[in-house]
Parts: sequence; C-alpha cells; structure tokens
Amino acid sequence: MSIVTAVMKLLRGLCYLGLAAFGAAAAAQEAEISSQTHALFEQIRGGVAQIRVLLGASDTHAATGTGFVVGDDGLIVTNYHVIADKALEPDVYQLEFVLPGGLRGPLQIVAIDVLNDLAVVKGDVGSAHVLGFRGQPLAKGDRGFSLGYPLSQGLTVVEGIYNGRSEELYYERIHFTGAINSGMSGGPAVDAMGRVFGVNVATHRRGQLVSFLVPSRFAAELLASSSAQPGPPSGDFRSTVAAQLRAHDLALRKVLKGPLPTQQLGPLVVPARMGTFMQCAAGTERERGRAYDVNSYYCHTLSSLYVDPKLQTGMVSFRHRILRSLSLDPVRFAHVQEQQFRAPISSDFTSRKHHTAYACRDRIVALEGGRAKVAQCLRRYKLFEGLYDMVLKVATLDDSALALHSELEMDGVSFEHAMELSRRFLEAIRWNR
Amino acid sequence: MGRHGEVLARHPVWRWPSRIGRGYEMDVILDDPFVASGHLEIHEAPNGRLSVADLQSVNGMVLLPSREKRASAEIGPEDVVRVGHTQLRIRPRSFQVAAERPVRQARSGRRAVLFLALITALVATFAWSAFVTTSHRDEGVVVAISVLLMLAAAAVWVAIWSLVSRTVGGRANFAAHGVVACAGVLALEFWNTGAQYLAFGFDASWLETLALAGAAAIFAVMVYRHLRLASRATRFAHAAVAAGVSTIAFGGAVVLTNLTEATNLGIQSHSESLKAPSFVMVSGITPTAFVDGADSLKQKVDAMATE
Repeated sequence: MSIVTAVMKLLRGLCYLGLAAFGAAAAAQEAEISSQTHALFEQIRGGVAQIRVLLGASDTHAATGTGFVVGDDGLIVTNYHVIADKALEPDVYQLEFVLPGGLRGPLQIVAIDVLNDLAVVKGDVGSAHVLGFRGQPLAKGDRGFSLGYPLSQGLTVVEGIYNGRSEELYYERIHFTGAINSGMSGGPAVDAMGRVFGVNVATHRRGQLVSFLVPSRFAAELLASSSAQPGPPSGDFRSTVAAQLRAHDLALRKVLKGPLPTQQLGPLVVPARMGTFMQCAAGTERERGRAYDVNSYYCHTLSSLYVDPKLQTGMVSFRHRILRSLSLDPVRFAHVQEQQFRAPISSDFTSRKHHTAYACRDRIVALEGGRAKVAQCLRRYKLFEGLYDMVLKVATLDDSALALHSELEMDGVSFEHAMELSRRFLEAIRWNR
Repeated sequence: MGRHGEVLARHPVWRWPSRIGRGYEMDVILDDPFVASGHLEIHEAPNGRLSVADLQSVNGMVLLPSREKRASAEIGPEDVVRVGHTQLRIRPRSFQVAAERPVRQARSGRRAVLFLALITALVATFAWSAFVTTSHRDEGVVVAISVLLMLAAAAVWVAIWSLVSRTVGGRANFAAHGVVACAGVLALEFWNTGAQYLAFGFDASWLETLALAGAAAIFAVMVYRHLRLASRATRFAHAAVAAGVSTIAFGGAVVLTNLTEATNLGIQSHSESLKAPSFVMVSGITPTAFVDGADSLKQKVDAMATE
C-alpha cells in the first residue's frame, strides 16, 4: 500500500507540474480532448464491471479487479490473476460482478489463459453495453484510454500513450504509458472510438507510468476457443492451469534449444544471456578489510507467470559468482566457499500448498579443464502434475585462490527439461587456460 | 555402611553374643529411628561363622539383596544385613583386610600434567576451528569468544560429572573427569574433521553417515569412562548406560534433523562440505553421468507429492 501511495503522490506531483507548464495557449485543445474523453466514457462505462472475489458466502473481498462485457450472452473478459483463487479453489471462493448502475450478480469461469493472464467469465449482466475489439494495432504515440476500478475508487478513466510492443517480455505485451493501478487489472484499454485494443495487466514497480496491456487479439482468441471448448463443469481449473504451464515449459524448452551462448568470466567460460527475453545484471561485492571479493553476474527470463498469490513460476535464471581470495589461505578460502555454497536456495515463492520439500544430491563432476562440486535439488508441484522446480549449484575446485560458483534455477519445468538444461549448463562451463 | 556400599563407620565388638539396637545398653548403638531399642543379636555359629537373629523387632531384619524379612540367618564376611534404614556388614576379628595401598604421588602429578596438556591441545583445536571461519580482519574477537564459549561448555560438562562423582561415589575426581572430557572432545573433533575431509576428497557421502556412527561410539566411550569414575556399579551396567545415552543423543539428533528437513521447505539436505582443492582425490564423473543420477531425486519428490 505504501508503494502505491508513494506512486500516487508522485503522480499527483507530476500532474501539477504538467498543468503549470501548459498555459492558456493549449486551453482550447485541452477542452476538446476533455469533451471527447467525456463522451467516450459515457458511451462505454455501462460495459465495465468491477469483479470481486469473495471468501465463501460472505461479503468479504479477497480481491477485486475489473472486467468488460464482450458478448450478448453475458461474457466478460478479465485477467486470470483476478479470478485465480476461484479457478484453483472453486469451493472456497465466489465471484461477483458489480456494474456502474448498481446491477450485481454471480459469475462463473468459462475459460482461462494463464500465459497471457486472461480469463473469460459469465454472468447475468442484463442489457449492459457490449465492447468491441479493434482489429488493427495502434501506431506508436497514439492516445488510448484505460478503464477500471483502481483501489476500489469507483470507475475511473486513465489517458495514456500506446508505445508498441514491450521489447523485453517473453510474452507479447503492449507498453502503455499511463497510470494503471491495482484494481484496474482486467479492465479494457480503448482507442478514441471506444474499441478495445488491450487489457490492463501490470505496471512496472520501479517505473513511473510504465504499464502493460495484453493485446486484445489474445482475448478475442480465448473468447473464440471458449465457445468451442467449454471449461470443466466443476469449475476447478487446476488441470487446465497445469496443461498451460506444461505448454509454457515446452515452448521455453524450444526457445532454449541449440548451443548455449557463453562468455568469458575471469579465467572461465560460462553460459551467458540466452536471448532477448532474458534480463541480465552484473555487480561486484568488495568490502574494506574483507580478505576476498566477489564479482557476480545474474540473468533471468522475463517469463514469470502468475498462478496464485503463493506461486509465480515459469522462470529460468542463472547466476555466476567469481570468488577471489585476496589474502586468505586455502583452508579459510574453502570455508568462505562452503558458506556460499551452503546459502539457501533463493526462491521467493515457497509454499506448503504448492511445493514438496527439496530433495538434493551432490557429486564431484569433471568439467572441461577442471573439476567442480555440483549439487542438484529438486521439488515437485503438488497441484500441477509433471512440474518441478530445480536448482543446480556448481563450485569449481581447481584453484585455491579463485573459484566460480554458478547456480541455475528453473521454476515450473518438466523433469526432462530440467535435466537437459542442467547437462548443457555443466557442459558449457570450461576453463580458458 | 552408606547406600552405595561405602563404609561410614566401624564398631569393634568384644564378646559373643553381642546385641545391636538403639538402646543405651546395646553393644553397638545405631541412631536410626527405624531400629528397635534391641534389634539384633549376633552369635558365633559352631562352624566358625556368625549368625544373626532378630529380637522380634517391628521392622525386622533383611539379608541383602533379598527383601524378605528373616528371623535369623547365618552370614559370611561379605554379606550385608539391613535393619531399619541401616546397612551392616559383620566380620570376625580374624578377617584379613587388603594390603596397604602405596601413596601414588607421582601418578596424580602425571594426571595433572596430562590434564593441562589436553586442555592446551583443546584450546589450540578450538582456536583453529574458529580461525578457519574468519575472512575479515575484524573477526579476531570471534575466535576469542568462540574459544571461551567452548571452554566454558567443557568446564560445565566436567563440573557436572564431578558433582555426580561426589554425590554418588564420595570423591569429585575433577582432574580425572577433565582428562576424560578433554580427550573425548579432542577425539570427536579430529574424527569429525577427518571424516568430512575424507568424504569430500573421495566424493563419498556415505562416509559422513559412517562418521556419525563413529562419533556416537566415541561419545559412548567418553560417557563410559565418566561413569567408571563416578560410581561403583558393574562394568556391564556402565557400558549399557553409556550406550543408551549415546544412542539417545545421536539418534535424537538424527531424527530431529530429518524432521526439520522434511518440514522445512527451504533447507536442502545435500552435502554442504567444500574443502580446499588439494584434498580432492577423485577425477569426477561426467556431466551426463551426474544428470543421469537425478532419477533418485525424482522418485523422492514424486513420493513426497503423493503422500
């Protein structure tokens, strides 16, 4: 909440600055835009509903989001992450929609798309306004309007700029410069004619106004496939989620096929950034008085998938750390390494609901040009068949004053994929002497 | 005699029959409220042995280790009779006592020297194990504190055994307990470190399991030696108690570790030891062979997920 408040304060500050800069010359144009926005808002507001996730039969909100009506038969598009609790635990949660006129009613899930974070739900919305999709993409710099219920503040319209496809993310997302806030998830982003070109999905935590939309064609595709294939009658979408996560893993495995790119790190050659869908950072840790230093290099795929509040998965990441002894004897340097090697697995998401405990093993492995101690840990997903988290740790053993510690972490992958990449990762590490 | 068979006092008797009880007219007076004023009478039996007879007391007389009350009994020089809460051993004047024990000044001096040498070795070992954990110039104090803490723990251990010795056996035996404790801890430290290095160097994690059994055995021997110093029970009883204590301590630790690992999702149970490269004695397996061995992990987590 504090981050959101801070962001809002910052945004307010920026708005004031903007107002001061404009001046009287732009007043006429501003009035025109304003009346356009007003007309648009009036036209489509009747089709934008707040989606509420209720705990049991109570009136307590577990989560809220936004959805928009897309069909005469009461179909509503929203984000998967808004209704995830209901999809995985249909007996515990209930869904409800509330339209601006006050009309409310229960919702059923019709279809989900975890990879694009979309869901289609159905309810008795009466004669609510039906929104249509825009066929052609906008041009960079075009204006767009995002609608939703930010922080339960009532239906809000936010103006922003279409900035094309986000260049980093693994799945296609539109980069939208606008103040999308929590609660607006699943709301429509429309063009000046009121046609939906995207679905609100996320904002960049460290950015300002850097928001993301799911392109509307994915929503249209989900809608089309949902009419062909109805969801499970029990309303339990666990096996659907599992199948989609497995499909994600399969696609990622195809992308990661081929020889691993490598780079020189100290006297070693190690796996490097595997594609544009991967983000990397490097750093160094030095401390006065400490008898060793560490250079680190970290990469992770931008393919994180939200499954439920306790589980985000679908990422592959690796880390290399070069530990260099400045004045430590071999025994003490080995102890420093032991501490680093022992450090707990870095995963943020650990939940008894989803994960078994890790099982681990370790051996001394002959790599190209030297030996290394390699440990491998595996845990399985309890709710989603055939998916595992795997961590591979490598510590080289051929220099008493320098060591490479590498870690490969894969979340939500098949056992075969985990083993295949582990082997290739190990084979890619070599000494360049 | 005391409860553990130690002699508390000796009373000479000059004639047969002699009478024992709480009354002033008795030959041997026992200040025990559970003894009658005239409780026992001792006669010389025709075969040269002695016989005791109960003088119809309320609490009677028992010939240990039996608990049955006896009206009379013939006794030898090693038999112990209990009246009230008092234990008695009655021996004829002709009984031969053991030969005089020479005072062994030199030996107790040797023990003190041994104790000091062991303490020095222990301090050096503790200091070394603390030193290898440091990697920052400000960490000297860590070494000092950890040595002091280890010494304090060792002192408490020796003090407890001395107290037990004093209570049960009448003698504290501080230096002897100190020698046992120092030798035991040193042996444990060397054994564990050696096993860790061997397990690492030969890439054999089963050695670590074996090392645990060895450590349990060393600990059992240590407890056995302490018990021998503290009480006069049989060797068998001491060995049984030592084995039991060690099994409970090490078994408990193993069970606790396994429970923690099974319930804590963050902790991993792979071998965490990483030593200096010069200790590696194997050439290592290939990456493919390593990855092929992961089936055991899959079986383990699959079983966990279906539990």
